[in-house]
Amino acid sequence: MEYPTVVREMTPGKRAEYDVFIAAVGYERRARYVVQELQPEASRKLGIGFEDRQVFEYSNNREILTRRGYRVEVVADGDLLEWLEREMMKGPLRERDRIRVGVDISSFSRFRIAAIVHALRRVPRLLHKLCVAEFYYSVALFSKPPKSAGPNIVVGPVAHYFAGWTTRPDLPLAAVLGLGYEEDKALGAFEHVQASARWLVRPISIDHRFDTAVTNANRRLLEGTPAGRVLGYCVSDPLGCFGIVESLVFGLTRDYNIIVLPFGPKPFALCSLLVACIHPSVAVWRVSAGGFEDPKDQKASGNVYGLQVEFNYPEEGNRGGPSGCNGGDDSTD
Amino acid sequence: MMPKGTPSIFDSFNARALNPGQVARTFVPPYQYQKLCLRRHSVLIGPRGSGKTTLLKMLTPAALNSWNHALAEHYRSQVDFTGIFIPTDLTWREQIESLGDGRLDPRDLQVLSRATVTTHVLRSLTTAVISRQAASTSGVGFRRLDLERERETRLSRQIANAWDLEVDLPSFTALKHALSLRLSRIRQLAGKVAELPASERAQTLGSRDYLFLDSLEAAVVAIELLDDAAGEQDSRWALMFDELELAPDWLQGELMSAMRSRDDRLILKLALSPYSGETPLFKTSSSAGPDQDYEEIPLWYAEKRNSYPFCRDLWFQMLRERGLPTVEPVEVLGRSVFETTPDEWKELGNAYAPSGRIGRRFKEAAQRDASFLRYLEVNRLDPARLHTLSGNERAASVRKIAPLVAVREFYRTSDLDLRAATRSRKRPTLFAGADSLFAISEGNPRWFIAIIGRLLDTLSGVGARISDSKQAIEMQHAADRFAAMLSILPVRDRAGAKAPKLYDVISQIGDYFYKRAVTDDFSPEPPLTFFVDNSVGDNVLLMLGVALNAGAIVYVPDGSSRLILNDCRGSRFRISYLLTPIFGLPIRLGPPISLSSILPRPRAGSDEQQLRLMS
Repeated sequence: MEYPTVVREMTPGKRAEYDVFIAAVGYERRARYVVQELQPEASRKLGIGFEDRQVFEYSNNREILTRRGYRVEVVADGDLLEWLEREMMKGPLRERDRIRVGVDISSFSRFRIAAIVHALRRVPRLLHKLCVAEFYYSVALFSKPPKSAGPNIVVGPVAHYFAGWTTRPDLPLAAVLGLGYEEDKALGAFEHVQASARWLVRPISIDHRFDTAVTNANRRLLEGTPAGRVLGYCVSDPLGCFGIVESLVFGLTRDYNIIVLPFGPKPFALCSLLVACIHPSVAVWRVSAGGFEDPKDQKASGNVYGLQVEFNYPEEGNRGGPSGCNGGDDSTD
Repeated sequence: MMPKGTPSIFDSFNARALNPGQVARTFVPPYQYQKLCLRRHSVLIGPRGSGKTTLLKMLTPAALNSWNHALAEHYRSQVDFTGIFIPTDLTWREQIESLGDGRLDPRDLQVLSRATVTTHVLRSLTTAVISRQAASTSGVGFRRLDLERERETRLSRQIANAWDLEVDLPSFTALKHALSLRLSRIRQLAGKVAELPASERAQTLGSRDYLFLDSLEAAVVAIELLDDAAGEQDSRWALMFDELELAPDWLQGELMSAMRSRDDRLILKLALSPYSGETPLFKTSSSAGPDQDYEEIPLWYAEKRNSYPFCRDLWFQMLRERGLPTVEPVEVLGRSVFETTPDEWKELGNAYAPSGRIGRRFKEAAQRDASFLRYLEVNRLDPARLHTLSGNERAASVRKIAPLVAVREFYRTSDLDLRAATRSRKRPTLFAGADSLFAISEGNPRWFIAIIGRLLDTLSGVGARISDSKQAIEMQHAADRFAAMLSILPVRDRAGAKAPKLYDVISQIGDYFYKRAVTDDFSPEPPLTFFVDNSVGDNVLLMLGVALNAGAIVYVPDGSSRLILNDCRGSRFRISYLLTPIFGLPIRLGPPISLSSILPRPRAGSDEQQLRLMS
């Protein structure tokens, strides 16, 4: 099913108002930055905790969010979608015809971001209301990439609902790879899915150490890729990132089945999922060590970027378009 | 940087992305193609890059129709069936499993999964028919299908009825589009059914007859109609499933059974990787067996020499593609140190004479390697008099150890300077030369094209030779990239525990062989292969399967072994020669040793990694 989705620029400001605001209660310090500094207002403030790896700043994050009026709940991955849909159904709303939701994606896993996007895109059907979502991303301070990532164990669609669907299984497969700074991870994923062609989309940061780390980690993959198939997006410009991925996918759909592998900063993962809302044939996958990555306490850099997305009723769809650098990388899944 | 135009060993500028006509343009038939052309069920087995997709696509009418090669006519005369290529890939498998967003019960999911596969098979059949029609106006007219417009309309309408399709203006192209639309509808239906209460699901699905079409039966109905319309009696059609291990489990099981019992108008050509893991292939008692029901066709070469003829053909094809004159590979790449040529045998001043290549090497090795000197003394071999031995004596005692001596001489500096089991980072010029490069490519066309192509890109002109150093750089480059890929190749962990990396396991095996062959005391036959014994843990077993399918290890079956494994236990393997430049091993099969004696055993106080390796 095609989910009509309009994507717009959004500049995060202080005390924005929502019906629901969703934040992660993770183990990194960055998880509370948006809540503390931007202090979004909402009728229902939800802090979603993880079952495992309650280490580093987890307790502090939990305490701080609770103090700020967040209802913190530990929700298992398998229960998350239903839990989110239930929470969305609870009224009342500020405006009659729409629900406004804010989400800080900075410390959510890719799977959880996928569940949130899926829940939000289903809202118009479930509530018969428009859903206006604003996504926040707090860029982390640079920290060195892991010397050795764990073995890749989880490999497959980021979630069933983003597996994509082809009506022409005989078409070759093209991979769109968002690059991160874990050594050769994108290369391994590309080889695993045995795609016939690849396009690399690399993040460009204000902190050049990120860029150097990304180049070093993907040296082998970059070496064998024609320059015309390596694109860049600014981490500080999520809308630009969306425009690049959407244009690329749009251009490829005629000749290829498409898989997007979103390594690197989470705005790329978010944009990939939004593109898949518009192009349901596209598969969005994840490759990870299945929870065996060593947790890392990422600190916020102080730079927060945003994206506004309007999920419409199925019959009223239209498309969002691209629009306008800073830095960050997320190695966690 | 990579030279222009040549893909790396990862680049899947492989047959998947090419249409049959493009595949035919550069196709070089290996000996296995002859077997595949026969009118019988076949199972094509090989690791990634071994050319399975190419071979299947070369049986399609579109490819055979446009193939221009000295042997093309011969093969066209062998193929008396219409090949229907049915691709599969990992994403498609996941898409089928994700129908209904993962909210369908297994029974409903299977109904929709079957309908999806059936639609795909019928769409592929339709594509084959369209290409036979196209053969009327292009190519050599192989299996051309000439149907007047009116007859095509009537036939398409009949097929549409049989397949429960609605087409307004019947034609084969319209059938194909209607099948694409059906695939789209199946997904919509899956989503709808997932939202329904459980009590309404069965009825919703049951009211749609097309969901219950049997793929093979529906294909046979269409084939009968086509035969009648075209006036062909007893025609044969081959359903060719690529990457079968990625197909849904039920389909694998059914196809294996079908090789015993189905309509003899249908031939099955199945391509799969050597390790089928937990898939149901060949597991049920009703499954077909090799030889009596189908022929297993391996696409790898446990013995390096078996790949040489194909490598030579590929070499000449690559020269032609580049507009280069036809020259023997040895003229451009030189002779491998592991080979002794007939010339060296004939002449008195041959390689075995004191001043000859091998005689000199033996002498120098004896001076630097005390254990080798002892070996020579015990066996009464005088490096200064090797040339005086009879041909048989030489073959028995000298020729077989010559490659090993070459490797030891290359990697060992002196007895005193050896660091046990530490790999050298020396540029592997030892492995330069035509035959060595052929062996290192494993006869895997993707690897061969990548390595040789990059070397040919640097060729300065007619009569030029590519230096050993350049060859070594390319070999090392390919080996390093392959190793990097193996380091991050996903392995699903059966137990949910943190597993070691695949490449770590391969490295331990390679390092062990290096130690035995190079740094330990000289032994004429150090182990260079391993068999998987019962002490090997599940995690490692799983990894070996992934390694085998990726081509990191090579299965060495004995005469009676099955070629498709669902369990690596009891089987013998060697490390891919592609990794030779990293591990510094002789390019040859050596005697086997049990894997559990290579991998570290868990013991009290051992580190976590060791424990995990054997878990």
